[in-house]
Amino acid sequence: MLLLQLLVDGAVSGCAVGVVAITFAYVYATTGVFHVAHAGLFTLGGYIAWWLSGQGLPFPLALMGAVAVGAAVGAVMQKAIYETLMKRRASPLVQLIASLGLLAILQNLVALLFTPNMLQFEAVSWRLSMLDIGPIHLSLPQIWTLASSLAILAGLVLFSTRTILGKRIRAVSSNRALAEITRLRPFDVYVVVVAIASGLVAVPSVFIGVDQAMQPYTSVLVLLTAVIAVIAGGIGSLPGAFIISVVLAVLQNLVLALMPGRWSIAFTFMLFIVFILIKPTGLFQTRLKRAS
Amino acid sequence: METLLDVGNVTRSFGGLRALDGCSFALRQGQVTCLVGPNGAGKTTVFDCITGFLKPDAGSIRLSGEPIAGLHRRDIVRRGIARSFQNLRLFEEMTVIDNVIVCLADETGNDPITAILRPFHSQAVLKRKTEQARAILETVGLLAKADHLVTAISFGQQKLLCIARVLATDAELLLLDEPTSGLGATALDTMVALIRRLSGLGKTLLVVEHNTRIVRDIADQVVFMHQGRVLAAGDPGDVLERRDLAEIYFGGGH
Amino acid sequence: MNFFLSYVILAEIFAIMALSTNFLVGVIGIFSVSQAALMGVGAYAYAVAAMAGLPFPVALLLALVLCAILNVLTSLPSLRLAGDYFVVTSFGIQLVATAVFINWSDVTGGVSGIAGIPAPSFFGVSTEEPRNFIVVTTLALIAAATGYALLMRSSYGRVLHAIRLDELAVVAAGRNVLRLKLGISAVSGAYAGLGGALYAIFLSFIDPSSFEIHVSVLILTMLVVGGARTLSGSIIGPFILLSIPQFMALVSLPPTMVGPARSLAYGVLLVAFMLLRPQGIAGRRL
Repeated sequence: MLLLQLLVDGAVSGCAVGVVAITFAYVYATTGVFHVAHAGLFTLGGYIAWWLSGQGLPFPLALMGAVAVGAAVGAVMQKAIYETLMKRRASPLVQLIASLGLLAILQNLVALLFTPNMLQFEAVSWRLSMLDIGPIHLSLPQIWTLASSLAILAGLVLFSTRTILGKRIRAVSSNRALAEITRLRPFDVYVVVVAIASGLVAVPSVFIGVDQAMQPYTSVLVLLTAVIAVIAGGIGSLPGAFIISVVLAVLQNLVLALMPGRWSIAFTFMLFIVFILIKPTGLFQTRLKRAS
Repeated sequence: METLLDVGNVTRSFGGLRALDGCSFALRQGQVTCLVGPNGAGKTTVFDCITGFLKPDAGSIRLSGEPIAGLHRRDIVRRGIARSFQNLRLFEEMTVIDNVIVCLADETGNDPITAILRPFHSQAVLKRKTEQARAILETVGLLAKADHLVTAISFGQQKLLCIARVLATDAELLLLDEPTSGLGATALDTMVALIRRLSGLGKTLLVVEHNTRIVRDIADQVVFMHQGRVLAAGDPGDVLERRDLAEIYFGGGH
Repeated sequence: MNFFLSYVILAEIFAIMALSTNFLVGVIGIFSVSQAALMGVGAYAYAVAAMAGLPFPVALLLALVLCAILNVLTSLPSLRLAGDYFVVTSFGIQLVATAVFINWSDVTGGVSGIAGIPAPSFFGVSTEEPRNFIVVTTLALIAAATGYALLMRSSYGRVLHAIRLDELAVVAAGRNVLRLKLGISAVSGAYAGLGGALYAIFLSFIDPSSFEIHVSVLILTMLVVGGARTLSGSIIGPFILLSIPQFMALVSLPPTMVGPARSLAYGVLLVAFMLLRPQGIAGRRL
């Protein structure tokens, strides 16, 4: 039964990674920025919620606060940094290095303001509550992770296919020049997209933080797994990226059971290399390509 | 005269759109062939298929009888077909002569071992390549601008540089994508004279050209394309006189 | 005085690392955040070889060759493809390398690292003293800088620049772009191996924390601040960046906060230079 438990635990953390993957993909496909600072926003979300709940705020409000701060910081980043670089027609490399700088700023700001060490949500009373479904143990935060991640996936897919704003965003990402002519104003759309992605990515961050613990620098690992999932799933397919995230996390968990230590990242990376050797176009959709 | 390149029934689709639909024509050694037709006729797609930038869905492309469709772009250049681009694709930020040196067929010295561990040999190679590049620049009439940055020369000169880069590959078949577009009267005359001179040097040329006056001027053969098909091929006088083609070209095509 | 010598020695070692990064980021324009990982491989390879009693030149050569081969093999799959695959590869190499340094404890000593790495002697003079070792690092930097200059002046250097400016046009000229990229990636790896070996000798102690992703970011910052694609930039950058901790020492920070504060400064510098002066101090467009 240990195997089953490992599978379930893997699937739950996979859903969290899946949210990171689809929000990253959303930004990448729309703005064309390889937004590594997304990992910094993931870090930020958890710590904001931790701090707010430590101030005595009820958990739902703390979570909403984290989402709001994430969205605001994301929007400022896009407006102040990426937009400036885009308007100057900076090369993708320059945008990427700036994004790396933003990542360093966010992670280390969190470390300085809070702590560089492990942190737990002491103020959240239900974090240790367990639920037994047959032979499987699930913590309450795990259930919330699962539920919120699936809700975000469904919400983002519906948003992008059913709402006017969502469709507009897709129009901009498929053809920036055309969108400019039709007055969709790509730069405004980008701000909205980065804000949405940055707000949403706070959710899994908070629930994973409540369930396990937080540390400012681990988010790079999460992002790497997420990006690999995006590539394997195909940049244009949100569900594809999400499913691959779950598969990767389950595999990582199984590897963890077989080999002690921190080899799981090596395993994931090896999968990536094998993958791009045999099928670089992704399982579900088109090749990894910037929006142009 | 011998057939150098034979394009037979080449088809290539993008999604549902048939960019090339059974396109066939042949180029004879040493001749200048002009590829004409309205926008969207598939002229650049033909270039892409011949040079390996696109793989044809069906059909054959033979160079001196040897099939080349599906070969890597690099190998096609080595077999003697080189192309220029409609949007130039020059290495800006580099000098005119360096643009040519990069494209020289000669591969020696293009590795780190030679460059670092055999510095004197490496410099000798560079000197030799510089001489080769200067000779090519002289052919196209850009020698005086050799050490200028690409961004510091005129548009007409940039177009000449594109020809120089193609020449540097030593290819015998040159595919030129709109070499005269956007040129003023003087630059136009220079380019036409250069194309004639290249033909005189024994090169075979396939040129995308819109200006019928220039076509009459330079072409030994005209290939008229429309909707991915070759509607007519032959003597420039005959093809350009045809009413039905003129209708397509100047009428509904645009 | 010892303190100043250490500063110069470290800056020289990092200048070699900045040159290694420059080949990729500055010259052919691909992102790299895994230079510290390669530096670590060089350091560990040298340490293990030297501790096993191999003579200095052999151990050094081993580190260089291993890093060159490793860099070629790891970047081969993603360099075949256009697009951003290389970004993922670079992050992946860095994180995997750190995991290997920590977990492969039979060879690397795990988190406790390797101590007592011997310094070589030349003509009976030991280089254990910084005032002797600085001769070694200075000569190494001169050699590395000469190599860089020679490369840039060769026809190979011109082709590499052309790849950055328009890869497709280089392909259209019949060049084997993959082979050309792998060549420079081998050189970049060898430089990182040299930097790593010198680092191991100088500190005589190495552990995984010296080669983490923060260090890769630091090296990239050095290059960006100094100015990509210039020789002087790769040398100025490390000297400037390594002086920052000295200024920070003026503000008293709790010891656990020193690392994050430094990394924060690097992040601010990266963003600021990209926004205000992407060409860095020595100035070439990135």
